[in-house]
Amino acid sequence: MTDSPKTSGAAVLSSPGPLAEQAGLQAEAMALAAVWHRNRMVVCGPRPEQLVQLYLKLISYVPGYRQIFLCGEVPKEVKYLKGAKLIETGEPLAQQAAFQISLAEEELGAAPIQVVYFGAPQAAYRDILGPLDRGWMIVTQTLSRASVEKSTSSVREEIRFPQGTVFLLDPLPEDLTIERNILNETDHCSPGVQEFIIQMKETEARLAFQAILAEMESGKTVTQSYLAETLKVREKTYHKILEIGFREKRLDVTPYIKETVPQVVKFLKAISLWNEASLAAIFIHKNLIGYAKYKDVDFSSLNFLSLSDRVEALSQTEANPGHPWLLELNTREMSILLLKHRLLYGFVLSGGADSALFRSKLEGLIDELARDEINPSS
Amino acid sequence: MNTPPLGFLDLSAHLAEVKDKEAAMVLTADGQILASDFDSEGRKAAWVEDVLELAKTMTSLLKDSSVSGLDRGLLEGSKRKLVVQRSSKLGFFVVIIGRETMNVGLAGLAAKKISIEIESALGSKK
Repeated sequence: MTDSPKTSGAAVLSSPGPLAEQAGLQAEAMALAAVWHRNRMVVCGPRPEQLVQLYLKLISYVPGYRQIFLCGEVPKEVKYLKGAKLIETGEPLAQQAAFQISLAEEELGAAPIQVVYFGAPQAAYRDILGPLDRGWMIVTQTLSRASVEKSTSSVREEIRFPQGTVFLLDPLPEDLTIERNILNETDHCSPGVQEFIIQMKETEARLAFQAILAEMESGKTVTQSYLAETLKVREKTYHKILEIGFREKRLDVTPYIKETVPQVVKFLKAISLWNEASLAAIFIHKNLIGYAKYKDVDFSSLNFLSLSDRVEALSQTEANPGHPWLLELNTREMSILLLKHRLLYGFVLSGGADSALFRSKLEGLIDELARDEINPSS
Repeated sequence: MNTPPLGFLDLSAHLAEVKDKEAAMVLTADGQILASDFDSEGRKAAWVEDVLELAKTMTSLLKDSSVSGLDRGLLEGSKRKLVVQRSSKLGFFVVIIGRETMNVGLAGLAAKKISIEIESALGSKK
């Protein structure tokens, strides 16, 4: 998956046409990422009805599991949307304290919050939102970038829509591929279907993060390859899950997950250039230290371990095949190769592939990997 | 030595071209030996159960992975080689085991021929 450079400064959605469509998609991807990552933002529009439209677009990006708090001069048409909670007290310090407690409680498992303030930004920022480092937006009538910066803090990104402008006070994530893909896939769908897909992806990411935490708490050695396979996610989604988890729970789990070592990444990338490979997995003992799925294939890496166990059991008998060994299984749809050297290598090849040729190409790569001292703690 | 009930099958003849073979067996999925040819009787008792377990694991894993059944399996080790041919029609296994110098191409071909002969013989009886 390639990623085109991120627009810096401003993205514009203007008149119809392919270029405008592209710019529109970029603007929407930036807005989706900003909301998903809980960036602080000021949403400005010249007319109240357009501002409400823009707000509705942004709020459709807020994950359904987040608790939305509305305060300020909330327009009546948005008061009861998405199960938002209306804060009626006008006491700014009480609001500020309540939001700060809610943010702190996120770390303990409470639902992440999204605060929306309708009205002039200066007092809102000074009295309520200023101390909150994430998860809020101010919705206000026309303001220039300079006036937004004067009343809040410096603007990092500016996203322009026909209905108004979104000023982001936090930087966007480097990679917007996931957001762009979601919007691309749903570009021709109704807003309802698009919202459904967005919500599904966001909820998936949250559940996946919770699963990762549970896996780590169980005391297992957790590798990136194991998580990618078990959670059925590709690399970019995997990183997105960790980033969102960090933004929502302030918990950076990356130091606790064993990354795929560069030599294994190089090995898997080399295999990806061979058309016959559908899946590759590398184990040290029972730990999956490298995993890549090149084609859509239904085969769990655990099957490699079961087969390996059976061959190893045979090694304890009179029929011992000896080490190293290679096991090849052929079916009409696929071939399965399992090689036991110092590491255990498992491959699924597409049906009709020349496994002998594959094996001969593999030898050099395996020799190269064998020369590197890879161990589970590296 | 060929064990009934496949009295019509001459395993030795099929394996004549396969140098360095140590054993050949035709096994049902539940472990019944339909035919066998071992270079020593001692090996027969020791090998059948272990080899059958491997063949069954190969088959069941593939079944669980929702792909069509195993056609052929091959295990090559530094000491020994093993070829498994599964009959898709009748579900039995033809297994040939040999030393590391055994030619697996020839062994695979022999296993396939044995499988076809049994399938056509048993199929025609039905």
